[in-house]
Amino acid sequence: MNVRLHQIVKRFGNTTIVDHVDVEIQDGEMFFLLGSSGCGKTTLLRMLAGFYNPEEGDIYFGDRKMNGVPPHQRNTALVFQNYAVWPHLTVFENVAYGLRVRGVPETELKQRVTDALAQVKMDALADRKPASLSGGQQQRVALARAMVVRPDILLFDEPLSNLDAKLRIELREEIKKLHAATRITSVYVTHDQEEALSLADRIAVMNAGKIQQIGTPQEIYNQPANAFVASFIGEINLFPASSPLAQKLGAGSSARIGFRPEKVCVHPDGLPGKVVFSSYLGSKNQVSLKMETGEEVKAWLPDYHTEGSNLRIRVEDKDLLRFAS
Amino acid sequence: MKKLLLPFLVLFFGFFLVYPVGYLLQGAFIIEQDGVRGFTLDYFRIIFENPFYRECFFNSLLIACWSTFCCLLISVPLAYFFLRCDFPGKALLGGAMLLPLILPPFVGAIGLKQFFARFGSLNLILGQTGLVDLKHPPDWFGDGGFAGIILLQVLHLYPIMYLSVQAALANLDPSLRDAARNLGAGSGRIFRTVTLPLALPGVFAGSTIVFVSAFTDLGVPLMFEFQTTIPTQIFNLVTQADNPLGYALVVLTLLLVSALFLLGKKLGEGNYAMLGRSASYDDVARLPRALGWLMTGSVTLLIGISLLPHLGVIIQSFSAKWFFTVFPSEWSSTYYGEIFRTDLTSLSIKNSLVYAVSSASLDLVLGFCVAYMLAREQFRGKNLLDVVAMIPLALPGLVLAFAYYVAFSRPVFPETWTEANKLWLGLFDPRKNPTLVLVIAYAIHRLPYIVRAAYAGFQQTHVSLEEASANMGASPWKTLLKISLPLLSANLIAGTILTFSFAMLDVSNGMILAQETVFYPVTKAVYMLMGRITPTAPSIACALGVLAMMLLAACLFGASKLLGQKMGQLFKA
Repeated sequence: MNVRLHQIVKRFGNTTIVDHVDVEIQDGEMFFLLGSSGCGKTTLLRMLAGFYNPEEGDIYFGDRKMNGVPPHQRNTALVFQNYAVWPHLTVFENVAYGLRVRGVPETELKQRVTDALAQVKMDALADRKPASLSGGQQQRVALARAMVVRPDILLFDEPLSNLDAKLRIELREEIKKLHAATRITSVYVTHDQEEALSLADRIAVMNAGKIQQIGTPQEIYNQPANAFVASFIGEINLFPASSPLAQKLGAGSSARIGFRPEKVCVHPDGLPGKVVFSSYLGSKNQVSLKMETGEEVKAWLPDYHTEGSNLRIRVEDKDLLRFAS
Repeated sequence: MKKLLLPFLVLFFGFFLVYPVGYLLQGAFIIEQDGVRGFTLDYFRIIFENPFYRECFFNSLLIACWSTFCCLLISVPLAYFFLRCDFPGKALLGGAMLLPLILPPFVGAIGLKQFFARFGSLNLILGQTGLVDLKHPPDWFGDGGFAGIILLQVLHLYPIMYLSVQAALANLDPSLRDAARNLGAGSGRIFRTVTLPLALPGVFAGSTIVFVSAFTDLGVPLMFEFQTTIPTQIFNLVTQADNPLGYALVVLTLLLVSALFLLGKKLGEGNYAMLGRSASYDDVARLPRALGWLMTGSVTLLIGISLLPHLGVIIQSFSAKWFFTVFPSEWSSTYYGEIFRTDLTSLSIKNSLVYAVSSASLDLVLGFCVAYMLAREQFRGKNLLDVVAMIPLALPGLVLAFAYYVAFSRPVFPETWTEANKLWLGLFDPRKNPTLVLVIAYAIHRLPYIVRAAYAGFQQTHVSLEEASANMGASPWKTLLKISLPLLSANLIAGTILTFSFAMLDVSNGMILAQETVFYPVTKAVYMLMGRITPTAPSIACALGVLAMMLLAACLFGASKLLGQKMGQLFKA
């Protein structure tokens, strides 16, 4: 099922939360909405689920216009940030809920629930009540509950943000496998860029209710559309075109230039600077350089350099990012 | 700290909770024949074989069931709409909803009788229009006051039910409903499969309070001179300390109430502590204009009806003559002055204030200590203390008052009843002076609420704030006084105000424990005045009622200001 958002506007009172958003999500795609809190990504997701209706613009699932269609008639399935697993129902009954609503016959229902629970490795705990489960286990139940109804669209609302780092990576990989196996069109909201880069087919970066860029993880990282995207995803050195360093690197007609710390390399013909901060991380050495021209540059270098040592660095022209604003 | 508090608490609960209840139980279950003591169920058999007591039991049961049912019918939709919809005047009406609570229902009975008795205002109006034959006027209170009793209970208790149900609904994580809706469930299905089962423990808890209050209420049946209920029979038997039937009736009530509370505890067992509540989404629907005003209108009407008893009491307090007329034919404001000139009433005001202030102060100290022990200390028997402090929830005023009366009006250990001990043990003898036992009875009753309020305060206050104080060199006492107490003050003050109000409102403790005129609290003075045949007595009684009402209104207003949204928790069982 492909999804089309056309010029969507959502306001709460006088504040505009979502501001003229256009998105097309392909059938079977894992699409990410990435942004900091308050950027409107969750609001957009809840509009897809039907909990909110847009003030302006249209939402299409395939050819069907979805404006005004209530949540329970949309066949989307949402995985909540706080799991929203019903505490009074067993794991099995939680997963079976959507199937019962859909009137699936009992034998098929049993089979599908058991399969779904097996997929998320929760089949052994089917008779438990959620209170006795860990956060990670509850989110697996929520995942099974969403998948089992074979929704047209799977929606994820920061599903991993309440989990600890190790579980987060574990579940991230499982979501990736499940998506590869089912190819259900998925929309995934997060503020965690690693999650987005590692899972997404395409990412929409949002800020202040507007889409900043839509692209594959590689496009977003390597060809950021503007300075916001460049600084939101990964780390970057940003300088106004008028600064001496920018002039030497070749700013051209742009307003600002930037480059990633890992693109900096030591070269005898490079520009001179002094290491003012050095932090050794094993796989790389994070340093800050005070350039002779006065700017400070972050660089990730393969070899260790002590604070106070003088280095010459350079950035290849192909690694330079030029921004119009 | 705990070394100091624990022995004190053990002594207190042992003497004022375990001993009287134990005394009650042995009176109901132990029989002494030829010097041999043995267990017996005979007294209960006698009760159920006696058609009169059977009738009493079923009357009380019916009153309680009907009251609960009607309260549910009013309060569940009310709580639901108040939570999910917006309509004109909502905030104001939400506050006004608590107003019925400021008058003990039996005083309200006086007011309501003026309107709905056989020759009350309603029948007189209907008689003038020819709708009613005044030779055979209809009895709106039905069957000797049976319907009137239920009506008064409902009008008094539905706000409590409303608060419980609303708290139960408000505690539900909205994403649990969203999840159901997202998976295709319609509104009806969501209500049936998610909202209702999750709110059920709260609704049941509210129902239990209403049921128990209606079952054990003594004042209203007395006012309607409706003798065939359990509370009125207990009241009649209280002074016959040797009649085991009184014990058995009280224990029967206690067993019924305990069963309900245990069932409620079982239901609430999951008591699903919400895991990381999602941000509360704005799911309050603004009702369409016409529907909104309809809602406003019906809530206003409901509150209006429930304030009719209050109105009746106020009118009566100013009436010099009110017989066979719609409104009083002569007015006067002398009765307010009369209160202070009559010994019975002026003494009763003084007594009530003494009882209420003392019990509130005692509760403040006691509640803070228990909550502190539960929240901050580790010791053996902590769970027991928790249970003991909550037991009074399942002890209706009637039961505890009866237990105090029988237990403390005779020697605790007969062999210790020496001349020296007589003196201080006699302090607790309600026949000599009920002040001490009354104060303690009121305090014990409200203790669970104040413990809960203080405990919640302790939980919201991170222990590190206290640790920081200790780290700076403050002694435990200093930390308690300088850090813990100020941080909890809002919760504690609100709880104390409610204890005070409860003591002022109470009927059964005062009725049973204060047997002599000089010790009557306000409520018993009102009751006694109503029994007098002097024509001005009802007006003086009502003037006294109005005074108490105003005092309580001020108290409840203060408490709700302090507690805000948390008000509902204080009425939860």
